[in-house]
Amino acid sequence: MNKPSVLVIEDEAAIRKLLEIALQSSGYNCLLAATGRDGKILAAAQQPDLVLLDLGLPDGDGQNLLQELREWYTKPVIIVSARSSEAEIIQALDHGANDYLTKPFRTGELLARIRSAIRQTTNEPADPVKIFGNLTIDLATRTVKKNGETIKVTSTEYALLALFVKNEGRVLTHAFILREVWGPGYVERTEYPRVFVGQLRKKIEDDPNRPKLILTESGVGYRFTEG
Amino acid sequence: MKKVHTQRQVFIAGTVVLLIAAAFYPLSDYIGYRSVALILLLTVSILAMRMSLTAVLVAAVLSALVWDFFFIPPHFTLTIGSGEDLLLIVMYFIVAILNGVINYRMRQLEQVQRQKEERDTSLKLYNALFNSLSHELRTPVAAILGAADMLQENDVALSPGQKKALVSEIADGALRLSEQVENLLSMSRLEAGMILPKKEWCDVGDLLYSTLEKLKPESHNHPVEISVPDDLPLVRLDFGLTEQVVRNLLSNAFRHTPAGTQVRITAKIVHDTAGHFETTEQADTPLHLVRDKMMYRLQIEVSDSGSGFPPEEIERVFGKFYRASDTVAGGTGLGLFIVKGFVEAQGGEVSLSNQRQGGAAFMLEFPTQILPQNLHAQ
Repeated sequence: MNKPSVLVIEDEAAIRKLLEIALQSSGYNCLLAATGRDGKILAAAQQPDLVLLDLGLPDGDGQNLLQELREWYTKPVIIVSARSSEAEIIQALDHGANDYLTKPFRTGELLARIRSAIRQTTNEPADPVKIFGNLTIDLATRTVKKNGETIKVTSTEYALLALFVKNEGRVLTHAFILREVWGPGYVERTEYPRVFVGQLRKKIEDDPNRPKLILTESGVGYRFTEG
Repeated sequence: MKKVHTQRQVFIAGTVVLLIAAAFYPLSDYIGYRSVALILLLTVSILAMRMSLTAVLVAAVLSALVWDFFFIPPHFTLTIGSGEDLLLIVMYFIVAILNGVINYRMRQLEQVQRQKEERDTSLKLYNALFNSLSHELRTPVAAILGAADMLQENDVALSPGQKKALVSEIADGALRLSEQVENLLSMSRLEAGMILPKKEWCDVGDLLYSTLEKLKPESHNHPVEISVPDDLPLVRLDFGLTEQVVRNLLSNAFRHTPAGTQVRITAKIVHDTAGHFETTEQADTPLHLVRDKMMYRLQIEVSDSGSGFPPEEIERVFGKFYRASDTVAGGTGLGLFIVKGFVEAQGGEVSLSNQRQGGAAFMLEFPTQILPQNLHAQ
């Protein structure tokens, strides 16, 4: 089997070096680009399995590059950004980034995110039955089971859960959830996701206060993980 | 601005002189016009203690003229009858002006002295703060550099255990440094007025629990109890800022109380009613108060059962670079300053008290809207 390849678009030489070592030692084929232009060329020529994109690039905006990439590149993009720029992160996620990390990040965390993002794209999408720990969701029959017993969920709760399941591991912004579950007219109703995620957690989590499935991404949205 | 000020002072000084002169005019026959000169001189001296130089000079000239015109015989002329009176008025004039000038100079000197003292105190304070801050920043840098050098130069001589210790030294130092840098960045954002809260509907329970979850590695065996009413409605807050506030209070409690000390977080909504007056038909109560507006406040209390704060320091804890006087733990002394800044940026308030049963209690209060609970399951 071929090594999965990761393209790093990052202007800081020190971080590039560090990521190269971290990725290579974890069995990835690492491609490096110091500018957005080189990154775009490499992405087109090599078709990497994942792109790691620094939003603070010197030549032009990382956001623009992300949008251009998304016109033809369908594999995962993980954003790296400075902390305290929630708005920037939300914008990048809405432009099609799968996940984000804030600087300074830990290498272990980064590798875990890369693994999870690549796994999602290689997952067998045909099987409608998804299992997360003691929770089973059948997307074909629209049923949810916990510990083998069917749980009653409302239609909105189901729509929300299905959206999470289909985007496992991915950070979903509040606006994205509102658009997908309630429709484009509801983007301002930021209370909806909070209320319904709360309700859903009470039904599917072992401890709704310490969720293992639907995690809160502070100020940004939620992420569904396999628990 | 200053000119207006001077004009006002001149006006006041002139008025005072004229009023005093008018008050003593009917008495001048009894006490003698020369005594009036002394009273006017006293007036000018008192004015010189408070007023600007120009105002005092005007008062001196005006009082001399008034005395000459109204009091020295012949009255209502500027003519001076006797040589003695001429000498007197010249002397009067010189003394009045000297008085004004000397007073003014003394006040100026005093002011310079006071400014110098203030500058010295703030310089001393700044030096103390700067020393502690630079210590907090340089210590981790020294640890990182030292450990990295060792690994680079003595690679062969070091045992695997030693290498591991050095690497964890680097990691710890970098973490500490990263925390300080975040604090300094938050401080400069606060001071530049760049904290613009983005209020959104928030689930307070979710906020508290997820903040605690992220802080787990730092908790050093401190049990944390969170109590949030099940039916607490959503409130409008900036999630990120409030998370940082709770985070700083928690790590403060973890750092400054012995391992194993219980920490508690409670959240609740309190409300007041506000209203307006409406007119009524009844003659005896023409106005009727209608309480129709509920004002909600979210209260979050973070308390510990440690030893609390020294009472004399409670007022200073939210100041920049404050560090408890008996502290052995690190920190730039910015954590609580940022707490106050982030709370106030959202229109809230924070206060600190020592609990009767011991331990510190931080109370956060945010005015907020609440979500009416009519969002039934669909």
